[in-house]
Amino acid sequence: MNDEMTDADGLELQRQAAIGRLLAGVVHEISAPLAAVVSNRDIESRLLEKIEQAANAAATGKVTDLVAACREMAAVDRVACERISHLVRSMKTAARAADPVPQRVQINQIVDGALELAKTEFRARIAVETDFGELPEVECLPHLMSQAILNLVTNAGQAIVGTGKITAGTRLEGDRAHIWIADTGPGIRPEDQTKVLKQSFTTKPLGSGTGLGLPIVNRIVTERHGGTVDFETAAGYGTTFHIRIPLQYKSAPDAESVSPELNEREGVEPIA
Amino acid sequence: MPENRKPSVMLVDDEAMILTTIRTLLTVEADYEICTFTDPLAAVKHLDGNAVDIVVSDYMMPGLTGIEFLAESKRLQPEATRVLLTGHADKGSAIKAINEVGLFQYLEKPWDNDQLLLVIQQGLERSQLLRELRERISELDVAHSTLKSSQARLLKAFL
Repeated sequence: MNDEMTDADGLELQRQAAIGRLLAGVVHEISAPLAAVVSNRDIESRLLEKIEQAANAAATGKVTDLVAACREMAAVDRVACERISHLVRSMKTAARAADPVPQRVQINQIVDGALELAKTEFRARIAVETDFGELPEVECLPHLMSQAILNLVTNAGQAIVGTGKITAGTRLEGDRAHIWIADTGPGIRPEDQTKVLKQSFTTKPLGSGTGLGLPIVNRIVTERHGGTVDFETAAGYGTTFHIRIPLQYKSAPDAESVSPELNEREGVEPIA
Repeated sequence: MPENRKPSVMLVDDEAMILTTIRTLLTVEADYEICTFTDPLAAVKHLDGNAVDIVVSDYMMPGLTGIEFLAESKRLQPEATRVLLTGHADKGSAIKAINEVGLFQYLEKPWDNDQLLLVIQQGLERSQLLRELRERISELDVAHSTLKSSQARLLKAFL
Protein backbone atom coordinates (compact mmCIF):
# COMPACT_ATOMS: atom_id res chain seq x y z
CA MET A 1 0.00 0.00 0.00
CA ASN A 2 1.39 3.35 -1.01
CA ASP A 3 0.57 5.83 1.75
CA GLU A 4 2.47 8.64 0.08
CA MET A 5 0.43 8.43 -3.11
CA THR A 6 -2.83 8.35 -1.18
CA ASP A 7 -1.80 11.36 0.84
CA ALA A 8 -0.70 13.33 -2.22
CA ASP A 9 -3.86 12.42 -4.14
CA GLY A 10 -6.07 13.43 -1.25
CA LEU A 11 -4.34 16.78 -0.89
CA GLU A 12 -4.55 17.41 -4.61
CA LEU A 13 -8.25 16.60 -4.75
CA GLN A 14 -8.91 18.83 -1.79
CA ARG A 15 -6.90 21.63 -3.43
CA GLN A 16 -8.88 21.38 -6.64
CA ALA A 17 -12.23 21.39 -4.85
CA ALA A 18 -11.19 24.43 -2.80
CA ILE A 19 -9.91 26.23 -5.91
CA GLY A 20 -13.20 25.64 -7.74
CA ARG A 21 -15.22 27.01 -4.82
CA LEU A 22 -12.97 30.01 -4.46
CA LEU A 23 -13.02 30.77 -8.15
CA ALA A 24 -16.80 31.28 -8.03
CA GLY A 25 -16.33 33.74 -5.18
CA VAL A 26 -13.47 35.50 -6.94
CA VAL A 27 -15.54 35.92 -10.10
CA HIS A 28 -18.28 37.55 -8.06
CA GLU A 29 -15.84 39.73 -6.15
CA ILE A 30 -14.12 41.01 -9.27
CA SER A 31 -17.34 41.67 -11.17
CA ALA A 32 -18.38 44.84 -9.31
CA PRO A 33 -15.11 46.80 -9.55
CA LEU A 34 -14.64 45.57 -13.11
CA ALA A 35 -18.17 46.56 -14.11
CA ALA A 36 -17.60 50.00 -12.60
CA VAL A 37 -14.36 50.53 -14.52
CA VAL A 38 -15.82 49.23 -17.80
CA SER A 39 -18.82 51.53 -17.48
CA ASN A 40 -16.73 54.50 -16.35
CA ARG A 41 -14.38 54.26 -19.32
CA ASP A 42 -17.42 54.59 -21.56
CA ILE A 43 -18.93 57.44 -19.52
CA GLU A 44 -15.60 59.27 -19.58
CA SER A 45 -15.49 59.26 -23.36
CA ARG A 46 -19.11 60.46 -23.46
CA LEU A 47 -18.21 63.22 -21.01
CA LEU A 48 -15.15 64.28 -22.97
CA GLU A 49 -17.24 64.56 -26.10
CA LYS A 50 -19.72 66.78 -24.28
CA ILE A 51 -16.92 68.82 -22.74
CA GLU A 52 -15.56 69.41 -26.21
CA GLN A 53 -18.97 70.53 -27.47
CA ALA A 54 -19.52 72.73 -24.42
CA ALA A 55 -16.06 74.26 -24.70
CA ASN A 56 -16.73 75.03 -28.35
CA ALA A 57 -19.94 76.77 -27.36
CA ALA A 58 -17.97 78.56 -24.59
CA ALA A 59 -20.45 77.58 -21.88
CA THR A 60 -18.07 77.74 -18.91
CA GLY A 61 -20.50 76.67 -16.14
CA LYS A 62 -21.40 73.54 -18.04
CA VAL A 63 -17.71 72.70 -18.58
CA THR A 64 -17.07 72.91 -14.83
CA ASP A 65 -19.92 70.45 -14.12
CA LEU A 66 -18.69 68.00 -16.73
CA VAL A 67 -15.12 68.13 -15.45
CA ALA A 68 -16.39 67.46 -11.91
CA ALA A 69 -18.26 64.40 -13.18
CA CYS A 70 -15.06 63.19 -14.90
CA ARG A 71 -13.12 63.59 -11.65
CA GLU A 72 -15.70 61.54 -9.76
CA MET A 73 -15.44 58.75 -12.31
CA ALA A 74 -11.65 58.79 -12.05
CA ALA A 75 -11.91 58.47 -8.25
CA VAL A 76 -14.19 55.43 -8.55
CA ASP A 77 -11.84 53.90 -11.12
CA ARG A 78 -8.93 54.28 -8.74
CA VAL A 79 -10.78 52.51 -5.87
CA ALA A 80 -12.03 49.81 -8.24
CA CYS A 81 -8.54 49.17 -9.60
CA GLU A 82 -7.10 49.02 -6.08
CA ARG A 83 -9.69 46.39 -5.19
CA ILE A 84 -8.85 44.26 -8.23
CA SER A 85 -5.10 44.63 -7.59
CA HIS A 86 -5.50 43.64 -3.93
CA LEU A 87 -7.44 40.54 -4.89
CA VAL A 88 -4.92 39.59 -7.54
CA ARG A 89 -2.11 39.98 -4.97
CA SER A 90 -3.94 37.63 -2.58
CA MET A 91 -4.40 35.12 -5.37
CA LYS A 92 -0.69 35.32 -6.16
CA THR A 93 0.24 34.50 -2.56
CA ALA A 94 -2.00 31.44 -2.76
CA ALA A 95 -0.64 30.48 -6.16
CA ARG A 96 3.04 30.94 -5.25
CA ALA A 97 2.03 27.81 -3.62
CA ALA A 98 3.34 25.08 -5.78
CA ASP A 99 6.93 25.40 -4.56
CA PRO A 100 7.52 22.41 -2.28
CA VAL A 101 10.63 23.73 -0.47
CA PRO A 102 10.57 25.27 2.98
CA GLN A 103 10.63 29.07 2.85
CA ARG A 104 10.86 31.80 5.45
CA VAL A 105 7.56 33.64 5.32
CA GLN A 106 5.39 36.09 7.21
CA ILE A 107 2.66 33.89 8.69
CA ASN A 108 0.44 36.97 9.16
CA GLN A 109 0.50 37.52 5.40
CA ILE A 110 -0.48 33.90 4.77
CA VAL A 111 -3.39 34.17 7.23
CA ASP A 112 -4.44 37.47 5.68
CA GLY A 113 -4.30 36.00 2.17
CA ALA A 114 -6.45 33.03 3.24
CA LEU A 115 -9.00 35.37 4.86
CA GLU A 116 -9.08 37.54 1.76
CA LEU A 117 -9.81 34.54 -0.46
CA ALA A 118 -12.38 33.06 1.90
CA LYS A 119 -14.12 36.44 2.21
CA THR A 120 -15.10 36.20 -1.44
CA GLU A 121 -17.19 33.16 -0.48
CA PHE A 122 -18.84 34.56 2.67
CA ARG A 123 -18.58 38.31 2.13
CA ALA A 124 -22.16 39.32 2.70
CA ARG A 125 -22.94 37.29 5.82
CA ILE A 126 -19.72 37.00 7.78
CA ALA A 127 -17.57 39.70 9.35
CA VAL A 128 -13.84 39.04 9.59
CA GLU A 129 -11.58 40.37 12.34
CA THR A 130 -7.86 39.93 12.81
CA ASP A 131 -5.69 40.05 15.90
CA PHE A 132 -2.16 39.67 14.55
CA GLY A 133 0.78 39.59 16.93
CA GLU A 134 4.41 40.38 16.09
CA LEU A 135 5.96 37.27 14.57
CA PRO A 136 9.42 36.64 13.16
CA GLU A 137 9.62 34.94 9.76
CA VAL A 138 8.54 31.33 10.07
CA GLU A 139 10.20 28.60 8.05
CA CYS A 140 7.50 26.36 6.61
CA LEU A 141 5.98 24.94 3.43
CA PRO A 142 3.92 28.04 2.52
CA HIS A 143 1.55 26.34 0.09
CA LEU A 144 0.59 23.70 2.65
CA MET A 145 0.27 26.20 5.51
CA SER A 146 -1.90 28.40 3.24
CA GLN A 147 -4.09 25.43 2.54
CA ALA A 148 -4.36 24.43 6.20
CA ILE A 149 -5.37 27.95 7.22
CA LEU A 150 -7.72 28.33 4.28
CA ASN A 151 -9.38 25.03 5.24
CA LEU A 152 -9.91 26.27 8.80
CA VAL A 153 -11.30 29.61 7.61
CA THR A 154 -13.59 27.95 5.04
CA ASN A 155 -14.74 25.49 7.68
CA ALA A 156 -15.41 28.32 10.12
CA GLY A 157 -17.46 30.13 7.49
CA GLN A 158 -19.48 27.02 6.68
CA ALA A 159 -20.07 26.35 10.38
CA ILE A 160 -21.72 29.73 10.85
CA VAL A 161 -25.43 29.59 10.13
CA GLY A 162 -26.71 32.91 8.84
CA THR A 163 -24.58 35.84 9.94
CA GLY A 164 -21.57 35.71 12.26
CA LYS A 165 -17.94 36.52 12.73
CA ILE A 166 -14.59 34.87 12.09
CA THR A 167 -11.62 36.05 14.13
CA ALA A 168 -8.10 35.09 13.10
CA GLY A 169 -5.06 35.78 15.25
CA THR A 170 -1.39 35.02 15.70
CA ARG A 171 1.07 35.11 18.60
CA LEU A 172 4.67 34.19 19.24
CA GLU A 173 4.89 31.47 21.89
CA GLY A 174 8.56 30.81 22.67
CA ASP A 175 10.00 28.97 19.66
CA ARG A 176 6.58 28.40 18.13
CA ALA A 177 4.07 30.38 16.12
CA HIS A 178 0.49 30.14 17.35
CA ILE A 179 -2.32 30.74 14.83
CA TRP A 180 -5.98 30.60 15.77
CA ILE A 181 -9.22 30.80 13.83
CA ALA A 182 -12.40 31.36 15.83
CA ASP A 183 -15.98 31.24 14.58
CA THR A 184 -19.34 32.16 16.11
CA GLY A 185 -20.97 28.96 14.80
CA PRO A 186 -22.98 26.46 16.81
CA GLY A 187 -19.91 24.64 18.19
CA ILE A 188 -18.97 20.99 17.72
CA ARG A 189 -21.31 18.44 19.32
CA PRO A 190 -19.66 16.47 22.15
CA GLU A 191 -20.16 13.18 20.32
CA ASP A 192 -18.37 14.57 17.25
CA GLN A 193 -15.43 16.16 19.04
CA THR A 194 -13.18 13.09 18.92
CA LYS A 195 -13.95 12.52 15.24
CA VAL A 196 -13.55 15.90 13.53
CA LEU A 197 -9.82 15.58 12.90
CA LYS A 198 -10.20 12.04 11.57
CA GLN A 199 -10.40 11.14 7.91
CA SER A 200 -13.69 11.63 6.06
CA PHE A 201 -15.88 12.65 8.98
CA THR A 202 -18.46 15.28 8.06
CA THR A 203 -21.74 16.60 9.44
CA LYS A 204 -22.34 18.68 6.34
CA PRO A 205 -25.15 17.71 3.97
CA LEU A 206 -24.16 15.48 1.06
CA GLY A 207 -22.36 17.51 -1.59
CA SER A 208 -21.34 20.48 0.55
CA GLY A 209 -18.38 18.97 2.37
CA THR A 210 -15.81 16.30 1.60
CA GLY A 211 -14.99 15.52 5.21
CA LEU A 212 -11.34 15.99 4.23
CA GLY A 213 -10.81 19.56 5.43
CA LEU A 214 -9.84 19.11 9.08
CA PRO A 215 -7.92 15.81 8.69
CA ILE A 216 -5.83 17.53 6.02
CA VAL A 217 -5.17 20.46 8.37
CA ASN A 218 -4.12 17.95 11.00
CA ARG A 219 -1.78 16.10 8.66
CA ILE A 220 -0.20 19.26 7.23
CA VAL A 221 0.48 20.66 10.68
CA THR A 222 1.50 17.54 12.61
CA GLU A 223 3.15 15.37 9.97
CA ARG A 224 4.66 18.01 7.69
CA HIS A 225 5.58 20.68 10.21
CA GLY A 226 5.91 18.87 13.54
CA GLY A 227 3.22 21.10 15.03
CA THR A 228 -0.05 20.60 16.87
CA VAL A 229 -3.73 21.20 16.12
CA ASP A 230 -6.36 21.45 18.81
CA PHE A 231 -9.63 23.20 19.41
CA GLU A 232 -11.95 24.64 22.00
CA THR A 233 -15.67 24.51 21.41
CA ALA A 234 -18.78 25.51 23.32
CA ALA A 235 -22.30 24.71 22.18
CA GLY A 236 -23.97 27.88 20.96
CA TYR A 237 -20.83 30.04 21.23
CA GLY A 238 -18.54 28.73 18.51
CA THR A 239 -15.27 26.96 17.98
CA THR A 240 -11.64 28.08 18.01
CA PHE A 241 -8.97 26.04 16.24
CA HIS A 242 -5.34 26.45 17.30
CA ILE A 243 -2.33 25.65 15.13
CA ARG A 244 1.14 25.74 16.68
CA ILE A 245 4.23 25.20 14.53
CA PRO A 246 7.95 25.55 15.24
CA LEU A 247 9.62 28.71 13.87
CA GLN A 248 12.33 26.51 12.35
CA TYR A 249 11.23 23.94 9.83
CA LYS A 250 12.11 20.39 10.79
CA SER A 251 12.42 18.17 7.72
CA ALA A 252 9.28 16.16 7.20
CA PRO A 253 9.34 12.54 8.26
CA ASP A 254 9.71 10.03 5.41
CA ALA A 255 6.53 8.55 4.09
CA GLU A 256 7.61 5.19 5.48
CA SER A 257 8.14 6.53 8.96
CA VAL A 258 4.63 8.02 9.10
CA SER A 259 2.79 5.53 11.21
CA PRO A 260 -0.11 3.96 9.32
CA GLU A 261 -2.29 4.24 12.41
CA LEU A 262 -2.00 8.02 12.09
CA ASN A 263 -5.04 7.83 9.85
CA GLU A 264 -6.97 6.16 12.60
CA ARG A 265 -5.86 8.07 15.62
CA GLU A 266 -8.30 9.99 17.71
CA GLY A 267 -8.54 13.77 17.42
CA VAL A 268 -6.97 15.78 20.19
CA GLU A 269 -9.02 16.34 23.30
CA PRO A 270 -10.88 19.61 23.42
CA ILE A 271 -9.44 22.17 25.78
CA ALA A 272 -12.81 23.41 27.00
CA MET B 1 -46.77 59.51 -13.87
CA PRO B 2 -47.93 63.12 -13.73
CA GLU B 3 -46.66 65.28 -16.58
CA ASN B 4 -44.85 67.73 -14.30
CA ARG B 5 -42.80 65.04 -12.52
CA LYS B 6 -39.45 63.75 -13.78
CA PRO B 7 -39.30 59.97 -14.23
CA SER B 8 -38.02 58.45 -10.99
CA VAL B 9 -35.26 55.82 -10.99
CA MET B 10 -34.22 53.78 -7.93
CA LEU B 11 -30.79 52.08 -7.93
CA VAL B 12 -29.96 49.45 -5.29
CA ASP B 13 -26.52 47.83 -5.00
CA ASP B 14 -24.36 47.11 -1.95
CA GLU B 15 -21.39 48.41 -3.96
CA ALA B 16 -21.36 52.22 -3.79
CA MET B 17 -19.07 52.34 -6.85
CA ILE B 18 -21.80 50.75 -8.99
CA LEU B 19 -24.33 53.32 -7.79
CA THR B 20 -21.95 56.19 -8.57
CA THR B 21 -21.21 55.01 -12.10
CA ILE B 22 -24.87 54.42 -13.04
CA ARG B 23 -26.00 57.66 -11.42
CA THR B 24 -23.39 59.56 -13.43
CA LEU B 25 -24.37 57.78 -16.64
CA LEU B 26 -28.04 58.71 -16.12
CA THR B 27 -27.16 62.29 -15.19
CA VAL B 28 -25.03 62.72 -18.32
CA GLU B 29 -27.37 60.98 -20.76
CA ALA B 30 -30.89 61.54 -19.40
CA ASP B 31 -32.98 63.70 -17.10
CA TYR B 32 -34.32 61.51 -14.29
CA GLU B 33 -34.95 61.85 -10.58
CA ILE B 34 -32.46 59.34 -9.13
CA CYS B 35 -32.31 57.77 -5.68
CA THR B 36 -29.62 55.24 -4.69
CA PHE B 37 -29.36 52.74 -1.83
CA THR B 38 -26.59 50.41 -0.67
CA ASP B 39 -28.99 48.83 1.84
CA PRO B 40 -32.01 47.03 0.32
CA LEU B 41 -33.97 47.37 3.59
CA ALA B 42 -33.59 51.17 3.48
CA ALA B 43 -34.74 51.04 -0.15
CA VAL B 44 -37.87 49.10 0.89
CA LYS B 45 -38.64 51.83 3.46
CA HIS B 46 -38.27 54.48 0.75
CA LEU B 47 -40.64 52.59 -1.59
CA ASP B 48 -43.28 52.66 1.12
CA GLY B 49 -44.51 56.19 0.49
CA ASN B 50 -42.37 57.51 -2.40
CA ALA B 51 -43.44 56.84 -5.97
CA VAL B 52 -40.74 55.23 -8.10
CA ASP B 53 -41.08 54.37 -11.80
CA ILE B 54 -38.23 51.88 -12.21
CA VAL B 55 -36.15 49.86 -9.76
CA VAL B 56 -32.73 48.53 -10.81
CA SER B 57 -31.33 46.08 -8.25
CA ASP B 58 -28.22 43.99 -7.65
CA TYR B 59 -28.65 40.27 -6.89
CA MET B 60 -26.24 39.42 -4.06
CA MET B 61 -26.72 41.89 -1.19
CA PRO B 62 -26.57 41.63 2.58
CA GLY B 63 -30.00 41.80 4.22
CA LEU B 64 -32.12 40.86 1.22
CA THR B 65 -31.27 39.18 -2.08
CA GLY B 66 -32.19 41.11 -5.21
CA ILE B 67 -35.11 38.74 -5.76
CA GLU B 68 -36.46 39.23 -2.22
CA PHE B 69 -36.03 42.97 -2.57
CA LEU B 70 -37.76 43.10 -5.96
CA ALA B 71 -40.61 40.97 -4.57
CA GLU B 72 -41.06 43.60 -1.83
CA SER B 73 -40.94 46.40 -4.41
CA LYS B 74 -43.58 44.58 -6.47
CA ARG B 75 -45.81 44.36 -3.40
CA LEU B 76 -45.37 48.07 -2.54
CA GLN B 77 -45.37 49.52 -6.07
CA PRO B 78 -46.68 46.98 -8.57
CA GLU B 79 -46.52 49.40 -11.50
CA ALA B 80 -42.83 50.22 -11.08
CA THR B 81 -40.68 48.33 -13.59
CA ARG B 82 -38.19 45.87 -12.07
CA VAL B 83 -34.71 45.22 -13.47
CA LEU B 84 -32.05 42.86 -12.07
CA LEU B 85 -28.39 43.80 -12.60
CA THR B 86 -26.18 40.99 -11.41
CA GLY B 87 -22.56 39.89 -11.26
CA HIS B 88 -23.66 36.57 -9.78
CA ALA B 89 -21.99 33.61 -11.45
CA ASP B 90 -25.05 31.37 -11.03
CA LYS B 91 -27.14 32.66 -13.91
CA GLY B 92 -29.54 29.72 -13.73
CA SER B 93 -30.98 30.51 -10.32
CA ALA B 94 -31.36 34.18 -11.18
CA ILE B 95 -33.22 33.40 -14.38
CA LYS B 96 -35.45 30.91 -12.53
CA ALA B 97 -36.43 33.71 -10.16
CA ILE B 98 -37.48 36.05 -12.97
CA ASN B 99 -41.06 34.79 -12.99
CA GLU B 100 -41.39 35.18 -9.22
CA VAL B 101 -41.03 38.96 -9.30
CA GLY B 102 -42.33 39.81 -12.78
CA LEU B 103 -38.91 40.97 -13.92
CA PHE B 104 -38.78 43.33 -16.92
CA GLN B 105 -35.11 42.75 -17.75
CA TYR B 106 -32.09 40.82 -16.54
CA LEU B 107 -28.67 42.42 -17.10
CA GLU B 108 -25.22 41.12 -16.26
CA LYS B 109 -22.19 42.94 -14.88
CA PRO B 110 -20.24 44.32 -16.60
CA TRP B 111 -23.11 45.80 -18.59
CA ASP B 112 -23.17 47.85 -21.78
CA ASN B 113 -24.11 51.47 -21.02
CA ASP B 114 -26.20 51.91 -24.20
CA GLN B 115 -28.15 48.77 -23.37
CA LEU B 116 -28.69 49.88 -19.77
CA LEU B 117 -29.92 53.30 -20.92
CA LEU B 118 -32.31 51.65 -23.38
CA VAL B 119 -33.66 49.20 -20.80
CA ILE B 120 -34.27 52.01 -18.31
CA GLN B 121 -35.96 54.18 -20.95
CA GLN B 122 -38.21 51.31 -22.08
CA GLY B 123 -38.94 50.35 -18.48
CA LEU B 124 -40.01 53.92 -17.70
CA GLU B 125 -42.32 53.96 -20.75
CA ARG B 126 -43.82 50.68 -19.59
CA SER B 127 -44.56 51.90 -16.07
CA GLN B 128 -45.99 55.13 -17.47
CA LEU B 129 -48.34 53.09 -19.70
CA LEU B 130 -49.36 50.95 -16.73
CA ARG B 131 -50.11 54.01 -14.61
CA GLU B 132 -52.10 55.60 -17.45
CA LEU B 133 -54.00 52.35 -17.86
CA ARG B 134 -54.83 52.36 -14.16
CA GLU B 135 -55.99 55.97 -14.36
CA ARG B 136 -58.24 55.18 -17.35
CA ILE B 137 -59.67 52.18 -15.51
CA SER B 138 -60.43 54.26 -12.44
CA GLU B 139 -61.99 56.94 -14.68
CA LEU B 140 -64.14 54.19 -16.19
CA ASP B 141 -65.06 53.05 -12.68
CA VAL B 142 -66.11 56.58 -11.76
CA ALA B 143 -68.13 56.94 -14.97
CA HIS B 144 -69.70 53.56 -14.35
CA SER B 145 -70.81 54.39 -10.81
CA THR B 146 -72.09 57.83 -11.92
CA LEU B 147 -74.08 56.07 -14.61
CA LYS B 148 -75.46 53.60 -12.08
CA SER B 149 -76.58 56.28 -9.66
CA SER B 150 -78.20 58.27 -12.50
CA GLN B 151 -79.93 55.10 -13.56
CA ALA B 152 -81.15 54.54 -10.00
CA ARG B 153 -82.42 58.14 -9.82
CA LEU B 154 -84.18 57.71 -13.16
CA LEU B 155 -85.84 54.53 -12.00
CA LYS B 156 -86.96 56.26 -8.77
CA ALA B 157 -88.40 59.17 -10.76
CA PHE B 158 -90.44 56.93 -13.00
CA LEU B 159 -91.59 54.28 -10.54
